[in-house]
Amino acid sequence: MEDLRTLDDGALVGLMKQGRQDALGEVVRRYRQQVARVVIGMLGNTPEADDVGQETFIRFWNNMDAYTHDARISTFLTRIAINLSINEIRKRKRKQEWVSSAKAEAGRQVIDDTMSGQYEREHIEAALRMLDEQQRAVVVMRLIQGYSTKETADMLNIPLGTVLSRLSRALDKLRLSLKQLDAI
Amino acid sequence: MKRNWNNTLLQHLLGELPGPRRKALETRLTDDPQLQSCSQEWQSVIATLRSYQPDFGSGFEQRVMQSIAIKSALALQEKVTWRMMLRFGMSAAAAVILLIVWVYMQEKSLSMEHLLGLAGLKTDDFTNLLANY
Repeated sequence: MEDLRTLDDGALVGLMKQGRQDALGEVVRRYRQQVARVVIGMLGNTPEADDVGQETFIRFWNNMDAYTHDARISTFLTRIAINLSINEIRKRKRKQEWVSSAKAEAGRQVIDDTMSGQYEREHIEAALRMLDEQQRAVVVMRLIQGYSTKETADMLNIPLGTVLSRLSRALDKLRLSLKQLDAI
Repeated sequence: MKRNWNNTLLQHLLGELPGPRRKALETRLTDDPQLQSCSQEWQSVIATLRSYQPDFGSGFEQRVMQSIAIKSALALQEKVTWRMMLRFGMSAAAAVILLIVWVYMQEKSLSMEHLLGLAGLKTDDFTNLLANY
């Protein structure tokens, strides 16, 4: 049996289109961190973030037939992840459920505690929570995921100038909150 | 005006500022200590954010695969139920059509009385029928 770790993304997609779930397993292994940066960056370190992360890969699996090689897997997954995260935030707002810090603390149990830099991560997540949904989305896409400003604008369906103005406002807020939290 | 310089500075920090505008910004930065301080602080925030590496908890792959297995089973169940309902509905429709065709061939009429098998019956027929009981 072939070693899936040696296959490129195109070959993995080919196998997934044949219904091979083990190929999806390899895609999850390769891209989980990328999806985590979007989802946890947007939703914080909560159980919902884990659910949205899972749902991202499930949607990818279910929409395999619609997937073409025009977009990279990472871009396709990021689009799904950002849309699902925004939907989740809206759902929270509709339900008027504010994630209290206590709940967020409880949610942290789903994350591997042994990872390094946990302290700094918590500070960054706390600072990100202080941004509004739109600012958080541009920060996650442009600064955390590392997409270009144009790619960020395309993915979020907003003008390039809006990305820059939201980013500069977000940076001002983050600068203050990270300073308060002693993270910079 | 400040906002314009902010956006220019931001593009510079992100490595997206074209050459001529970069020179103008560099001149501005040397003349404007406030913008210079802003530049340093933003750089620091950007560096902090770039070092952010969150991850899902251990066993994430297994959870995804389990969810897919459960959802596939549910989808299959739904598909089977839907097919059964479709077959049942189609059988019922076929039966009704057959009844209509049969009634028309027998009676040369599609009135409700013929369809219900009540054609030619009078009130007395019911009375006589009930009288036996």
